[in-house]
Amino acid sequence: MSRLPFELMLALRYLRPKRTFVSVVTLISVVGVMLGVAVLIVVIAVMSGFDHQLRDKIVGFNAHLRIESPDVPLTDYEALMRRVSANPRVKGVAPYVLGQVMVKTEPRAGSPRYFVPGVRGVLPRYETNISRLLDSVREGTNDLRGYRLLVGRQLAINLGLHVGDPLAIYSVRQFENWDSSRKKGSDEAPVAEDYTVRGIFDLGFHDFDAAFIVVSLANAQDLFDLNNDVHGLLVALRDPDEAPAAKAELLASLGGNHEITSWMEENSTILEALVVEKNMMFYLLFFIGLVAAFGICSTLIAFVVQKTREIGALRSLGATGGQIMWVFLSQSLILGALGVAAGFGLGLLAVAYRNDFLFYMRRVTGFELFPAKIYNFSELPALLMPQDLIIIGGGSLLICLLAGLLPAWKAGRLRPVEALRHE
Amino acid sequence: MNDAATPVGVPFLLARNLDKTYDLGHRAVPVLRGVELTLARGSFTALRGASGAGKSTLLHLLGGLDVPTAGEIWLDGQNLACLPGRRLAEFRNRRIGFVFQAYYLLPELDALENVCAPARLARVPAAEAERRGRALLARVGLGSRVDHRPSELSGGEQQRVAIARALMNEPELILADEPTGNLDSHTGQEIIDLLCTLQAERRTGLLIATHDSQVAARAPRVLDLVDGRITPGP
Repeated sequence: MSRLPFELMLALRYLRPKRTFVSVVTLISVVGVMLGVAVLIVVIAVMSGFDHQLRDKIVGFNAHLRIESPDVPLTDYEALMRRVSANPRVKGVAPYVLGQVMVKTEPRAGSPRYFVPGVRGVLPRYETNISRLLDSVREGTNDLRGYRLLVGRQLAINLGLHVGDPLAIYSVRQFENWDSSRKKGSDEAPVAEDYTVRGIFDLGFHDFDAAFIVVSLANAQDLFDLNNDVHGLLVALRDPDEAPAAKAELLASLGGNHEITSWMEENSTILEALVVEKNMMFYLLFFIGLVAAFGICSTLIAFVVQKTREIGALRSLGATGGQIMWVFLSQSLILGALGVAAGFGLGLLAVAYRNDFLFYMRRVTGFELFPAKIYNFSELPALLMPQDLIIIGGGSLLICLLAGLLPAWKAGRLRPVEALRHE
Repeated sequence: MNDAATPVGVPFLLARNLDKTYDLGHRAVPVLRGVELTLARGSFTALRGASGAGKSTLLHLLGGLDVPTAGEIWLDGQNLACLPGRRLAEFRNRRIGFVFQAYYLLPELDALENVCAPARLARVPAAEAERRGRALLARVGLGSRVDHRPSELSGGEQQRVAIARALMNEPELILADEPTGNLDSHTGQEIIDLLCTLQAERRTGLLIATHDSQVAARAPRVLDLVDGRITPGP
């Protein structure tokens, strides 16, 4: 004989299939819970994966902290770098120059194209400590000596550039010189500086790949008339999540004439949008579970009516209202647990085989569900976060438990004699 | 629960001026009108009455399954009206055993589990309940059918299981409502024999409600329920 508590044993016995309409509806509601949980797991895992990749790409270009002097360039940046490096949270520091220039292609045939990209001046020996920029060169090399530069993949496509092509750069300084000399009556035209495309980088993030070129720090200092100054320092931390703490510490140790921006602050719009989107998905998809829970609720109501005389018999044997309630409440909990477990199985399987499924769909339908051109990734990212899984599992179970509450309460409140007389 | 023995002169069960009226919305149907009843501890009494006379209603009131419209029921010095729902359930579980005409076994449980149900509801450990259940099933002649579901048992066998179930928590009073009503006369006879034997053996109080004079005749004391009132039998 079963050693389980009597209420639980009875609930389990009630779940044995009896080929009645009620058990078919029970099965349908369990499948509903399963689908709800599986869809939640897949969608939330893909969104987390996308979020994670995006964060990776952001910090791959801009590191974790940016240190600047308000309105003026940073002088004696090497001394400042040493002071920043002294902080134990800091993994690496590198100087940068960042501004806009105008570029003009010089094709052998056809007319030149113009664009105004951002230019970033980097010091390669430090840059590799703080960003993946120089490691993301897909064509050519990352050699920036002399008048060489790197362009983003999308920008190269837009301007029709290839490794080895020349590119003319006009800096703001040159336009200013032209303007002042014109006022003095001279008609000296701005002279472009001729660079050669040495490599094409691909960070996988459209905003960077379509709008930036990279030159050596010295060339960039020259373009912006900085002499030996820089626009600021980029800092990589051992733990990106410690950015606010590291910022506070550095602000204290460096003094008041520095401005520090964390990667979270800089990208708050997109990061917050992602969080809002994920939360919305959570709420929306929980409705699938909610609908399934209504199914459980209605089958339990039908079941309680079916079992009314037995409830009366149990009351005559001395079962309390609470004990009767527990029989039906544990039934809804068991149904919920079955649905959640099956949903976890299906969801985790779907996450594991998501790309095979995508490729299969592409082969069968010829239609791309996630075009790489738009989403910037050829494979669907996914990240299973324990806290998400706990919320999905716990939330679904709670919904199922709540669904059972009404029928169970009704069963517990049945008056013994009326239940016994039920036809 | 008042476990003290009934003081001398006070009956084990006392029903005073019991009224029960069913409210059917548009009219009130009086079923019991001023029932007076006493039962001595361990006594065997038959309650005879025509179908619809209110026998079941009276048994339900005495067993705490329903509440009277007026009047009082005292069991072992305890007024049932004063027991809150939970204590009343405990009272039914420990002190009363019900045997119904339609057996009311739980179809999902086997014979042993059905018999053990009152003990399991009282949180008796499963092993102890099983030991008692097997002994009771053997006593009612079903030692070899412990793992059979009600659907695999005959009517007589089901009623034996129900009797064993009623005895599970060693109650002081068994209320049997037409226990032979669904059985042929031979099997009915066997069931009554069994109830009589067990009553004598265990000194458990037994109140059988029946419309059958032959069944009633087995009891040393017969009460007639006529027009909602009790009259001593002939």
